[in-house]
Amino acid sequence: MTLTQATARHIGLAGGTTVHVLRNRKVQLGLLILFILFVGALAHPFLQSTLWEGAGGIYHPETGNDRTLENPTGVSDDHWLGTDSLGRDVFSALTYSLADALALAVVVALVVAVLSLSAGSLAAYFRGWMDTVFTNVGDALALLPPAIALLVVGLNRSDFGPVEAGLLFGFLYGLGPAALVIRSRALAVIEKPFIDAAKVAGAGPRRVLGTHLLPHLLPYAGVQMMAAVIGALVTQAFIQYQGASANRVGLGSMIYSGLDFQPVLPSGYGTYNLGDYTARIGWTSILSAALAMTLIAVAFYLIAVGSRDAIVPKRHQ
Amino acid sequence: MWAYLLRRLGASILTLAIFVTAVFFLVHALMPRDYAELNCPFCGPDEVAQMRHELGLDRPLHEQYLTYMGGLLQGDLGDSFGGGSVTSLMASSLPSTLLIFAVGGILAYLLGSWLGRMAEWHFDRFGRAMTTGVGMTFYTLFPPLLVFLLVYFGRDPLVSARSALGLPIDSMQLFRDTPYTEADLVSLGGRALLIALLIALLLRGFAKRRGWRTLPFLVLPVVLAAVVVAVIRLGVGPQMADVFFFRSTQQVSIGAGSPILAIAAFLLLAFGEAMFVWRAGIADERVEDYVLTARGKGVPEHEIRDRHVGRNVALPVISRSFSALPFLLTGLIIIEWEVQIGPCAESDPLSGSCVYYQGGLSTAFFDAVRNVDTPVILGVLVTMGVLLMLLRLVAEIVHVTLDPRIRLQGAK
Repeated sequence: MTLTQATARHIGLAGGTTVHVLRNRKVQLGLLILFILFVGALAHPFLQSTLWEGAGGIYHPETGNDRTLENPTGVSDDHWLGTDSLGRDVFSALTYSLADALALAVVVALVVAVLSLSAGSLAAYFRGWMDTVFTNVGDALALLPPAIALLVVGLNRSDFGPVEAGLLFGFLYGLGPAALVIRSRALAVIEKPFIDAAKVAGAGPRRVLGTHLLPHLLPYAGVQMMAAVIGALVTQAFIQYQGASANRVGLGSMIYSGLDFQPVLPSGYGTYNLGDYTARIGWTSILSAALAMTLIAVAFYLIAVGSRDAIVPKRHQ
Repeated sequence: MWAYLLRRLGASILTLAIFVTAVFFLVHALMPRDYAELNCPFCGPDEVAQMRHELGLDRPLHEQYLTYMGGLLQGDLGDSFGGGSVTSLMASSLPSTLLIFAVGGILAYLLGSWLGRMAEWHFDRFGRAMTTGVGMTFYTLFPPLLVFLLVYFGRDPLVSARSALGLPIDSMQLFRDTPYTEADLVSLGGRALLIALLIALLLRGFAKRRGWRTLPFLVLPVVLAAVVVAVIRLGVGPQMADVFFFRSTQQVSIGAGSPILAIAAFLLLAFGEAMFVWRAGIADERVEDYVLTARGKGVPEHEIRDRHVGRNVALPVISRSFSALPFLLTGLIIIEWEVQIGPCAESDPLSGSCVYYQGGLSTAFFDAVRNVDTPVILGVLVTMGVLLMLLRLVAEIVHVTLDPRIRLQGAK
């Protein structure tokens, strides 16, 4: 038994589907990116206690300040990704921030997947009052942008960590727009003859839903997961960018501190000197944080698209 | 068809009622502090209680809810805690937001659908990967950063060029002797742009239906050029350029206050969505048998793409785009906040140049969130919800008009 098959059996899905998905190149690449980012996040406490220990707190993601340099600086041996305008090490801030961002992404993805798949497939399978309830709730929640709701709460509550934020965002998105999409896909699949065949062969709702319906819905749930992850990441970053997060170092605040130049007002109107402030832009801080956000999103995109390619037969040809 | 639409309208009102209820209790349940606590930091408990009483915050929640719903039925969004009616605040801040949403959204849809069709139909693997990469990058780019990059690489070099040419780069200098105020020019220019775009869309559709090949590509640039020429002929060219592109150049900050920047940022943020949806739709549809049949009959490739496949893809695209609208609206709110654009609240009487911008929907929203001004927060959320609801109804009408199956289903 290969490793992928063993994983598939462990997850307990229809074995063939999972093996198919895990063999897909895009899915593998997406998982690899996520793995590297997780390693980066895990590396922070490790580096802090070994390599950066004796540096006198220079590498602390929030209070560190390398006074020997004229900050911000570019890439160097001491500071692998340079420093921002306040003298803080960018690599340290990046690895530190990844933990929150990844926690949020994973929580949102899981909540959206679980809620949308269960609400969507139950509504489509049982119809009747269940369908009425889920559709009405979904329609109403689809009018409330989850990111706006998270902004309302997140800008006021500094105790709102990535897990709480992920739960709120995932709940609103998973029962709202995502459930509607999954429901319409499920309705299309339920019409197909193999569902009837399974029912005639004596399969109960659990078997029909779990074994026959779920694999067809997974790729669409993947796409919804990706959209939710992007929205949640951007919102979390904006809350950090506004300085309203409990954790004062995050991908958003890295972008903020990269842009944190003192505006140099010209002596009289009509003069404009670009050079006055361009020197103080912390490009490494900005770009590494932006790249990290894009990479997390790309990883989920690849997993979603790859599993769709692997499962939907027409694309498979 | 009318029966179907009426039924949908009834369902929409029910949905809206559920939505307002959910929003009302969500906002009240999750807010840690209230307005009285926040805006009276040195008050004793008695004074806070007094303020709460004046604002009606000490009443039971269900009573507050019933009052709010009662007001909403009469089209009244209540009063802001800071004073002033929320309805009139929304009415004054919505137009500038809607303008950017409409112009940016239409342009993003055109660009995205064109790129999506080209990428899926004509590009090779490398080209497809490139378009995916570019679309994904902009789609996931942090909006404040996007605005900064546009200011840094888009506006600043032009400002430098303007000063190198010896032209005035100072709005106050430019507006000193003109009879126009900035607010006039923003509303004039914005409306002209929107109308021009709608005309261009209609012309484009007409030309496509006639099968005129090059015209659809020319319509948009020609109409936009016509707007520019008209503006210059009107004699407000420099002022318009100032208002729309360079505004508040004295201040080196991220916020640049120019509508064009906001539109450009929104366009870049939103086109990826349209592109991905179009590509997914075409990938699903291009393997159908009728494509093979059409090709076998010798139908030209571009006609299979636009007439046969495109029309089948367009319908799902409309409904799928709808689920992306809340995200785009959020992006727009953040962009608007960064660019700091909105109607002019106070003009300088001497120069006509705007001194204080009221800001669009985003200013109202973020100010309210900061102050826990619940009526305004609810007002913004309800306005957005109604807006999304209306857009969904429009999408449904388009759907019903184009797809006879839904009409027949509704008649059953």
